[in-house]
Amino acid sequence: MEDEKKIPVSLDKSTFEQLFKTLFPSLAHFARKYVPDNDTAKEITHDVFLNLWEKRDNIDSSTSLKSYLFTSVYNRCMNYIRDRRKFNRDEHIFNILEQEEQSVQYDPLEEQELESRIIDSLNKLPPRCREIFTLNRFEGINYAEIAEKLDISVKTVETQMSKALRILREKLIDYL
Amino acid sequence: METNQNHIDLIVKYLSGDITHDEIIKLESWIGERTVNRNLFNEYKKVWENLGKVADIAGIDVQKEWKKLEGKMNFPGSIRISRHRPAVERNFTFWFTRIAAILIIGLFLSITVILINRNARYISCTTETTTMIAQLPDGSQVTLNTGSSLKYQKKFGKDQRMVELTGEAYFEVSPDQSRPFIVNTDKIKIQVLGTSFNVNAYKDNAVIEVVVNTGQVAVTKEGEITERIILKSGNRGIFNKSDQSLKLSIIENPNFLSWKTRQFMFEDRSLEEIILTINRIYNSNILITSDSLKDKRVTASFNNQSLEAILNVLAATLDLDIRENNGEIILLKKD
Repeated sequence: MEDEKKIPVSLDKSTFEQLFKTLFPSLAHFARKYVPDNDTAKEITHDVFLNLWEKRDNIDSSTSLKSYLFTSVYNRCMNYIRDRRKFNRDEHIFNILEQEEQSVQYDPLEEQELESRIIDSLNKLPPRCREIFTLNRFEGINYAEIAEKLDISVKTVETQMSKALRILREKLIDYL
Repeated sequence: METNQNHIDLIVKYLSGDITHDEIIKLESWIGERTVNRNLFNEYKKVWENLGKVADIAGIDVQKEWKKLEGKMNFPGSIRISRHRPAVERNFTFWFTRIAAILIIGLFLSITVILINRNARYISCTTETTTMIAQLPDGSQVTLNTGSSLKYQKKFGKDQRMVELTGEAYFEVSPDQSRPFIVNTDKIKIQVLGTSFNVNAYKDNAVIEVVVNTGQVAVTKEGEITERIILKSGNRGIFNKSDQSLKLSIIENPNFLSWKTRQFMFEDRSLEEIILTINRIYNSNILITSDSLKDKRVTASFNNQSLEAILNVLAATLDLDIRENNGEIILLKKD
């Protein structure tokens, strides 16, 4: 009982669900740095969560679950790249792999810090507000088109857009 | 001109490119007016630009992704989990299918089965005005303080040892590496292997307090598993309900266990504080009427003495009169 490693972590479904919903976007985004498309990134992240769920009764609690997840995603991405390299000598992918192998200490959490924060802040916006903001900022749809698409007034889009950015500024400005 | 909603609207419109020529002129003149305006504009711009870093996944719908994963999660696991839920959470379909199935055999039988099923789920111990010792099937012992209750499943110990606590209790947990012992309160979860510790989780307290006497425990917030604090002997974990923070500190109150041991030590404490502690532990109703008396400092220790003996010591030290009136004990300055 001297060592905190010996205290097991228990993982029930609701905790797992919460963990998934909190970390999925950050992990998928993280994976996207190493794999060529969004779908692969999401698929790898799904696999990592599924694997965690299957071993839920036997979790090694010597590291935090969050860093365990990031490390697992990272490892799977590296496996993915290796597997593909056998068939496809893509220079770009090859370079990424070489770089990563050179780095002595790898801390995915530190690198992820700001981006996780951004994703987290986006996720915490009220749903309607987030939807409108995402359409504009990430899908490039203008106010009038959003208004038409969602059957709301342009004024409402404007209000929601400002609300979103105001909240995001509050949450993020200290870290930028 | 002050910063108002209008200007933020203009900034956001500018950033998203959805702005008219007239509006740009208006925005520019506002930015030029004061340095604070310019700074604010730059801050919004910075936020807007940094959001680009996550553009690839900003459109992810976590709810949809979760449903997808849930479909892949194997079924035996889900069933096992659902058994942990208390009966009240069973939904309509659950009961409907059960009742419908049993109706075929006979209505009378069905009622009996449901009642047995419902009664068998939990064992609970509740104490109102006295402390109480609960012996758990695994040999662990839980001392419940007044107004507290402990609930556990009938199958406690099969693979996990899990209890639910409201109020305050002192746990002496039998060591068992293979079956973690878990205490759930409404806000935090305490996980241990074998140790002794006190949990104060009265509903009307602003904080939940965990104090470790021997061994080591892990404390997590409800629904969290990545963020946890490890408490060792002499440590105190405080969960603050107002800001939801979970912090580690050291034991400040030497009397954290006195509700159980009836041993107290007061070092230069105000009479008011001492009486508060005594009232809590002896379930007594002692009042101090004068403010100057409340602030009197006392150093004293008591070892499982009767309430009367304690009051006599205090009265002799501070020169007090003790009066009893309708179950209330009133402390007064001697005339």
